[in-house]
Amino acid sequence: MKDFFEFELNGSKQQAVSSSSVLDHLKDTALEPPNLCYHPDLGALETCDTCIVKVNGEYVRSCSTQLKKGDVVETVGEDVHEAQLIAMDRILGNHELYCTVCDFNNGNCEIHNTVKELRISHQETPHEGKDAGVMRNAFYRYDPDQCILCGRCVEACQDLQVNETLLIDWTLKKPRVIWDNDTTIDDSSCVNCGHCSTVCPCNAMMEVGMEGEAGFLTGMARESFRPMVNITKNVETGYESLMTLSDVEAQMREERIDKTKTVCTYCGVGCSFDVWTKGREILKIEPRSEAPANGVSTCVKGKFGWDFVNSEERLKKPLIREGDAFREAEWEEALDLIESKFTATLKGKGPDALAFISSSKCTNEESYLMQKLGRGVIGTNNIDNCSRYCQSPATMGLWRTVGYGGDSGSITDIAQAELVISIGSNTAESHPVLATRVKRAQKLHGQKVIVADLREHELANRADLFVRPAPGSDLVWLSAVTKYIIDKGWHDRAFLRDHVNDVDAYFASLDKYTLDYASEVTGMTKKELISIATSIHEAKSTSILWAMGVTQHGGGSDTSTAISNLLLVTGNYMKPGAGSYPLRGHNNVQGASDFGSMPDRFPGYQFVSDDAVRARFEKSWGTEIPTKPGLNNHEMVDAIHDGDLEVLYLKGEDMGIVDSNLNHVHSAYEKLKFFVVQDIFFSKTCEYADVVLPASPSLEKDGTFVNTERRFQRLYKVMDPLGDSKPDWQIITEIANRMGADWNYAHPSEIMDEAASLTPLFAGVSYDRLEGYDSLQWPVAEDGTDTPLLFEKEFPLPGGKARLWPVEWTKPLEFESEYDLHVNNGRLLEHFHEGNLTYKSEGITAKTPEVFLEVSPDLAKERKIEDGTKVRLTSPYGSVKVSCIVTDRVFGNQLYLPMNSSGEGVINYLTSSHADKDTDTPAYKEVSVKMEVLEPKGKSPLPKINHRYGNPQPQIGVRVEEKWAREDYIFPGDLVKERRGNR
Amino acid sequence: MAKATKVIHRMKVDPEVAHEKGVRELETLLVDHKETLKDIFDIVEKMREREILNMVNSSLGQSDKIITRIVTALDASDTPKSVKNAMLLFQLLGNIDMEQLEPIALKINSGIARAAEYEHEGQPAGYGGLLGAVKDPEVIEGMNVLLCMLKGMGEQQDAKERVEPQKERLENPGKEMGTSSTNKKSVQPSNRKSNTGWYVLAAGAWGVAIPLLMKGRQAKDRTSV
Repeated sequence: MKDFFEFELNGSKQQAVSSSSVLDHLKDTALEPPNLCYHPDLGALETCDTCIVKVNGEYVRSCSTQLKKGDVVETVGEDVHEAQLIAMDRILGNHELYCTVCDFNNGNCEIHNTVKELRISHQETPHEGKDAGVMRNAFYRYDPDQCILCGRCVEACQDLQVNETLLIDWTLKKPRVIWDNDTTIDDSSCVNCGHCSTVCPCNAMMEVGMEGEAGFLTGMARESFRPMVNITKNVETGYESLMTLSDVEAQMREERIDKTKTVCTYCGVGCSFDVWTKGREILKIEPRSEAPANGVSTCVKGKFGWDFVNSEERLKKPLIREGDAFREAEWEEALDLIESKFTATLKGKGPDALAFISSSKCTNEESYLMQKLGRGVIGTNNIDNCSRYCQSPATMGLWRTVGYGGDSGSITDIAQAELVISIGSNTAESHPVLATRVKRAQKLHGQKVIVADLREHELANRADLFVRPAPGSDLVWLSAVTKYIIDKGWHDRAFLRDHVNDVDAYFASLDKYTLDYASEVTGMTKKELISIATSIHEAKSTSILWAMGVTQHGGGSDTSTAISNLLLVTGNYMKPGAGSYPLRGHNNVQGASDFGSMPDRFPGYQFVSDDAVRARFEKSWGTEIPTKPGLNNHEMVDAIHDGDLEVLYLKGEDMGIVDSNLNHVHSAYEKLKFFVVQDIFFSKTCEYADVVLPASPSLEKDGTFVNTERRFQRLYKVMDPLGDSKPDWQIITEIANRMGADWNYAHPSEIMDEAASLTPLFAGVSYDRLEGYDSLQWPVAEDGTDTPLLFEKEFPLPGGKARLWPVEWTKPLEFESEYDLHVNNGRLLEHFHEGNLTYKSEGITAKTPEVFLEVSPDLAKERKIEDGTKVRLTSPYGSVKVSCIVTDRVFGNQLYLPMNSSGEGVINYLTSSHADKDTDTPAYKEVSVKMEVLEPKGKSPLPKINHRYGNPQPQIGVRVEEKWAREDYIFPGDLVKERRGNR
Repeated sequence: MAKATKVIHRMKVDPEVAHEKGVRELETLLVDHKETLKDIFDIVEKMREREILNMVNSSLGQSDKIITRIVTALDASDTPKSVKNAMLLFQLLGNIDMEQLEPIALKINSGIARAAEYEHEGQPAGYGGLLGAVKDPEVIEGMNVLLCMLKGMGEQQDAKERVEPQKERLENPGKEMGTSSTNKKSVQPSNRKSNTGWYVLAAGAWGVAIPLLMKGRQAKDRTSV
């Protein structure tokens, strides 16, 4: 409940909401004071002084002054204006106004707009440089001579991204922004997330993609620039004419620079932002506050990793295999061939000899069409998607216990949780923007963070408690903690009574999970176990995040179930800040399953075996749909080996690298009678295809994605498809029509309308309700009401109650003693998976050119390994060659092999076909190897310009107090008071 | 039994087919814009005759160097100042109220006409004559007009000035606040908001002028950085 109270504004009575600042109250009104350092996502920084107003007769910064009952606020007096002008004039002393020849002059320069608003016509504090050169790297640049020292970039770096690289050195004669200990950008700990350039109010911190590109006059030769600025400044008779001229020029830019909203195509966080383009050229990515998942946040991939879209390596024409080579062909020929092969197989072997694999990179509409093609046109349920490789166990664990396989709340819930437990999740690298919310909440708001992982990754390093259970033993410690909580009587009795079934049977199943047993199996101390239990007990809300470290095991579904059990027992569902958060890996891994690319379920998780549901789809599609569930990815590979599956149509998935036990998968491909692969690049999987179809990436099409929060977001077409490539939904439609379907989709919105009409879970989803940055979190009722908090009144299970689900520990694979090292594997921040998109970025590749193996200092000493030593790892299933990095992120005999390779370092040459017993998700994390040194000395695979060698400088915010303490600083309000007092 | 392969044979585009396609596209374009093209060709033909096309061609070919030369030369010349003055004059025109100016202009015209008519007849000018003239209603009227004008000129107009740097005082707050600054007493009278004791100001004019001139000089030096 918000409280209202009365105060006086410029002599008249006003109502205000409690806990708002004076500036908050005045925002977006005619009385809004100028404000340059204030940013809604960063809060009050108090560095610019331009927002000065008078409250109860005192000059104050309105951004940081809380409005209180009975306050007398003056915003319009001559003296107030004078104080604001003093502040603004100081700012102009730091920033040269050459707007017309500035790349930032796009109507959104806050300095330009404030000068206009204040009707400043001249500047008396002369502009002075800061006696320091421009700093730059491949992604952004900093021009100290344009920097107004507002500190937004520092605040964003320190407290929003929490990378803690940027500072303003207030001790310098001329203060400026510095990186780490005043080093270069590339030598610093900067991860190039782009927050600084996004929040900068002017052209000081700017994306290099904008330089010389945004304006009509900004591309001039370097030597013309300075004289041109001088002329502009000498000619102008006051800023009014300059402003008019630059406004006209900014308006002209609107004609040739397109700003199109899209959703990031990398991880599952679902960042959305505007893409600024000039033709096919991408000038910059501009996140906006209204983006529901990310606000102004991005990571290096989302902000700068888009070079792949215009890569020369893009597939531009269909390819048809002829013997041991491909030849480019026209669409007609490729579609003819597909039609004839599909038809022949259908006639000869029946529909189940064909299978379809959808993509978690593609849109919901495309996943919907792929399963409609399989089920409705071909007549088989052999349809799956890559969540089989990652998230199916988490979904299974949640289906069992709470009924819906999705995050319990939003990213904002994770941020407001009192306790966050992260298990088997390298969050800061795999879901960088989501991790920023945890890091910020911990740094600024006292959130407690517990991390259970093998590696001391960034979040582990920051955690209040970091525990390292033995690989694959999470179920045991989770169950022991749950039992300890129950034994102590800390369980939530009321919640269990009102909302949970099968409580007694579950409690009884925990008997064996004593602290002693857990300690013995996991290697964790009893103290650690008790500490975790106590933390959960003491916190009002607990959110548990987990990822592949949990799911990619033989008992991945059971461990996910154990997590949900723990949350149920402690009442950590049905309230803000609490719940289960399986962090989805790909941009649309949630949507691919949501839209029915699963062997046993239609869109919205409706069973194909349910007659009523099937009848609904049959009626709408006008076809018959098979009752029997089809094959999942894993089973498809076996079916090919068995000769039952002959034709495979796969899109947007490099299964030939990401599936486990690759040698087994590759030999299956070789046995296929006909293999169609649809991708934007010639991937490893394409090498085995008979027909390769050129598809379009997200920037070249319309559609929707569902992120990890179950959030639907629209992406708009930024540019036309390259060459002869086409959006996947068009290709699938053409293939379906060749096979006799009569589909007439003119736009993806029509596909969404059809899917929504058949799916109660998102009945109310439509493109109209997803305009711009609008979003919906499923379930979405027909009237458009969505569900940010997934469980509010009940659980979608019998009786509206959740259920506790007893689970048994599945011991991880055991290897012969010669395989003496455990190989952990996962993502890197700067490359996405095997890197077929991110290696196209020169900037990213320069910093992280290849895969590397992390080796602990102990093991390195024992095996005489140093940075650059090349080794061969051999498991019973294959081997890889890779260069080493010695780091204390890993411990003892545990290695870490990131998956950013499509060459001889691919982790999946080592992994087995062993899988989660309930979902067939490969047990990627159960790998042991032996290691032999091939070349003792070599070049380090990680250049020194990689951020991992940086030296972060944590501090809270921009430390404005240090500015105020400087001898040359006087608060403008004091100055005005003194003047007026002396008059 | 497809073995992995990375070999891709690119499609060879038949140059004749591509050429034919291009020609056909161009034909359509020409026919669609027949009238416009005729006009453009007329203009371009005239430009060619007058060597304009050659000039433009050469200029574009050397554009970067030419722009650098021009802007460097302009920057070093008085041209920016001229342009600035021209723009200031233009702004000044906007400030003049022609309706009010008209009667004054007529009076001045009349004054000039009388002056032109006046002939010195070789007689020494007598104080008597001058005093007598003061009685003349036309002279009294003229003096009243002049006095009104002087009074109007004395009015505070700072706020309306666009040429005057509006935050002059910001540069050195001491100037206005009369704080510990050593020259505060001599500077204070220069504050045009002060409207009393103009004669004191006149008396102290030199004292005022020296530090002010120096200040102005300093400010100018700095702003030119």
